[in-house]
Amino acid sequence: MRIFILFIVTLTLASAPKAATPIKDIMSAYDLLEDAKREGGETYAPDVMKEARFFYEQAERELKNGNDERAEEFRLISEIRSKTAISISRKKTYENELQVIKSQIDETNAIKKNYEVELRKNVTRLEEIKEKLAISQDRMLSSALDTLEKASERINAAEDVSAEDFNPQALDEARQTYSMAEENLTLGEYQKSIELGEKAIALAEMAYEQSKTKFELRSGILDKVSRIYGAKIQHVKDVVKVNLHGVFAPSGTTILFDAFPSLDALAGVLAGYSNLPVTIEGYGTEQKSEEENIKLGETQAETVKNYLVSKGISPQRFKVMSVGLGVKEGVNEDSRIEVIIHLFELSNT
Amino acid sequence: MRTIIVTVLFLLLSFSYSLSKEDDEETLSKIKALEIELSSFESKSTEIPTEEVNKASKWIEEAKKSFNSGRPGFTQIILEKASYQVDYLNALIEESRVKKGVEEKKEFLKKTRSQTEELKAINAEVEAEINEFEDK
Repeated sequence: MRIFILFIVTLTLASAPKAATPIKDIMSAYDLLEDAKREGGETYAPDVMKEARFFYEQAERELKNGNDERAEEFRLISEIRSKTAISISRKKTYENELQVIKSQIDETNAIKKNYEVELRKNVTRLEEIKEKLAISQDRMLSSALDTLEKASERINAAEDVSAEDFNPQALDEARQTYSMAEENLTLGEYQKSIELGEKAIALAEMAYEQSKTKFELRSGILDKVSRIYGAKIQHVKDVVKVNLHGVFAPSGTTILFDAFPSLDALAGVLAGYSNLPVTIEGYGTEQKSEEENIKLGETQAETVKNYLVSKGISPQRFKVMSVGLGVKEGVNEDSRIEVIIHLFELSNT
Repeated sequence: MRTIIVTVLFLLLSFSYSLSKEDDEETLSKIKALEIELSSFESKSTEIPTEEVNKASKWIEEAKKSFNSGRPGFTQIILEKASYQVDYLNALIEESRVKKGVEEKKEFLKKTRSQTEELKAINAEVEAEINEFEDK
């Protein structure tokens, strides 16, 4: 059919009237043919290329024969076929490109799917870890709070036994460590908080243990000496001070009669704590010079010691000294005797 | 003898007229078909250069005029030229369709690659987070 059409067109054009056609138009058909070749027309549209060539040759022939109008028609048809071949070739090129892109899409989709699967797996794993961690964190928080509560209790217990007096360093360290544990708890550093809390507990327990015996000892002594008539009691750290007034007349060195009950009671207390060392300090009077007061204080202290020794208290426990007319620890009274009971045992001194 | 000759001539003329009438109908139907095909390009495609559509349109009109002027041979040539042009327009449409497909697929590929990269990055973040937790 195609050949028949070509034949009819050729035949008809051959009998068409002549007209002038510039030579450059034929060249444009040739150029298009070349373009079509370059675009791959021979491969992708061989039949169309064949027709384009055929009409181009016809145009050339007609031009040679001086049939310009027929040449023009052949040229036009040749150009149309060349352009068609170019378009078909481009389409094929695009189709090839499309195949490449499709295979790249498949490849990318496969990679994407792998990442999706991996991500899903990792997200599940992360959620599990987070869940476990949340439980663990809750437990840690609870544990840290318990530890802090326990540390607070231990510190309170140490304070109750006057650790401030007997082991201030351990108590202070326990308090500081407790504060650091609290700070770490606020920061969410539960493990660190627990560690510090446990350290605070250990320090507070140490302070408690080391203070408890002395505290009980001091409490017992205070309880007893507080019953001594006319005695003023003070406790400073690990000593109990018993201030006795009216033991001597001002400037006197003989124990007054009214003072014996108090000294006897004191002897009774000291007998109950036979290992504790005792210091007796004598104070002078304003009526005498400092030098005289030193001597007077010493004599008075020695007199009291001798009396207490006579009541069965070991002389090795005593240390005697004169303060003179000293103002000591807020007390300024004439001719007083201060008996200091030390809470550490004799063997330790 | 004369009667025979007249009869033969009459038969030849009748046959020739009949053939010519059939050709006219075929040409008209060809013109109609090309017009229909061309109108469909005009309505559905914006990718084809207008000048190329106009050429086809012009040549169909020329074919009509030529047909009406009683030049069946020339009409045939113009029609064939218009027919090749329509064929060319079809090729252009196909080319444009495939080209569009390529562009769409390219865009899709780009999007898929971007999504893949995004997934890869998220996955790396999640893995880093897992490692961080596991180190604790």
